[in-house]
Amino acid sequence: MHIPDGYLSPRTCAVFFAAMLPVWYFASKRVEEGLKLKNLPLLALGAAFTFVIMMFNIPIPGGSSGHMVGSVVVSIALGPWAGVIALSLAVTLQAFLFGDGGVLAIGANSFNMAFIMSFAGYYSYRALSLGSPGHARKIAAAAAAGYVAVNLAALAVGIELGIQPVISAGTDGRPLYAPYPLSISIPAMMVPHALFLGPVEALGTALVVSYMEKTMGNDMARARGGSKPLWTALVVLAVLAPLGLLAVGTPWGEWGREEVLGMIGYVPSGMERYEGAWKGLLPDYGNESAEGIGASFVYIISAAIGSLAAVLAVYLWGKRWRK
Amino acid sequence: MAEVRLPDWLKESRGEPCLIGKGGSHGFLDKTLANISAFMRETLSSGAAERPGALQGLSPKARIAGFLLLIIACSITGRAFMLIGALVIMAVAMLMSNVSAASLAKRVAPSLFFTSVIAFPVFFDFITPGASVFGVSVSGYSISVTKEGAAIALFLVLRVGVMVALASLLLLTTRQADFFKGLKELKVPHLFVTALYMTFRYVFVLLKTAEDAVLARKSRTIATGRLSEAQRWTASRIALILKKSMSYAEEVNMAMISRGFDGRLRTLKAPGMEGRDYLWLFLTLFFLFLSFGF
Repeated sequence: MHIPDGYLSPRTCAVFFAAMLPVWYFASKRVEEGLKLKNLPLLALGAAFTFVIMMFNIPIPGGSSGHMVGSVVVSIALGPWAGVIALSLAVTLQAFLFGDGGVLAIGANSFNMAFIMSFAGYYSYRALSLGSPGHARKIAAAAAAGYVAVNLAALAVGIELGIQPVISAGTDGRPLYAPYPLSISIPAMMVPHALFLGPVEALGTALVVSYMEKTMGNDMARARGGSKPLWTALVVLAVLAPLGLLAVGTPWGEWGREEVLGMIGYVPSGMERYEGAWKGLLPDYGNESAEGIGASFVYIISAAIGSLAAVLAVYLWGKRWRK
Repeated sequence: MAEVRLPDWLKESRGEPCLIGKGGSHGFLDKTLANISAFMRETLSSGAAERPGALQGLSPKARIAGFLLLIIACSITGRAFMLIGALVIMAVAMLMSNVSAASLAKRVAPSLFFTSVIAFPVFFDFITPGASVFGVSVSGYSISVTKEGAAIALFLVLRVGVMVALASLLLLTTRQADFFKGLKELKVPHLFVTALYMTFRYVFVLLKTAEDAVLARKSRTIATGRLSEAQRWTASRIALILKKSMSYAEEVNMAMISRGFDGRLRTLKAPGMEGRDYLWLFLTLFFLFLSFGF
């Protein structure tokens, strides 16, 4: 389930970071107005718990065993928002310190395992255990929630990998990142999850929730109720908004002279007058007349100047900061 | 002397003696123990991070920022020579930092193997049509490796290998305490850094609890049990660890309050960045800017 670095384009990684930022922000607010100190240990230990869950092998028929992700257990125990933060912490730590999952893919991995699994699992569980369910219905609801959540997350991973050949191909059309189209990536992710990993997640979630029900009745009440519709809508909008970065073509409003001419048949006089008035210190990263190796050399010089300017800015900022 | 009689229940046969690690419903105990010990071994051995070296001598924030820039550059570029350039930078950095190629290879190998398996079908014409390099034909069915397929697959393996190797080199040359210090100095929100640090700290506490539970079960096991019983036991341990996590959270919270902890991770004040830090940042930024064009 952890996507390593190199499978997703930087554009996709940026989209998922942008999508997760408002989720993380709102989740921290939601957990308790600004992630107060009281909740810090709970979230940290929730994240640590997800590590431990992944270490446990659950025996399955045939003498084999498999491990679960555990997001649904955490979200049922702590609530979906706390689950999002705990799982995101776990994903971040896994990427940086344990080399599990990519550093640039933290946003995407958090979206799949923290956001989708927590919410899909938690609300599936709540929907299936509406009213006053008996023990058996709660356990069945937990199993269904585990199965649904892990399969939805797998579907998301399949889609994320499958769109790469379309949105991030090289100039010659060859895929630069995950190479398989949706027609292959989705079945490749879904079949093992539907047949093997999903049932393991369902079994593990059901068994753990069964013990939680028996031994931690009151603690389970930590799970929070449904979120306010307005905030839900805002979060959904915030999640969807950066998807525009995936769009091809010129961004809306950033058209050049020729594009405007093609669209409306004339170039507004103001645009005609001011377009190109400021070309930057190194227009198009170098000398337009240079070609071939010359152009590359000019580009390298531009990169060196840019790097030097950035390091100088860091140096000056550091000096100012230390005063 | 009174005759000692065995109770009937002790005379009952309960299947074959358990052969731990030989499969059956008890193989899961060994697998769980193996997972935990591998995790502990990898994370608690500081390795090259304690040795003197060029990367270890950089300030944590410059080191983390530089490696992030290199990883981003490798993600952006569409040219193999840029990735090979990153490999060269990495090889030089390794030599100057006393990091053995074997320790790096050990970390990169799983991802590389996984990616190679995924990329393998891309070589062939049924996934990537193109100019055939060589092929075989058996009873009317033919399959061939295409030039385009080979280029795509090898490029993916190279990119993933280089990016994972960069992240691994950062890991190998950075002590865990330095990592959190670096994040703090890079102005990552302090609550996030503190939560990450606490997660890291309590992973080991919970893992020790899990290890004790599995070892206790293994030491008491004399016969192969039923599958459902083994499943119930595993679930009960997971639930117990969750319960312990929540009670630890309460205790940690009270301990934090009683000690006046304000949620900020306190570390020794790091010295300012030096010339070598700026040079490292310049080189990595330069590489990043190059990747925009190549």
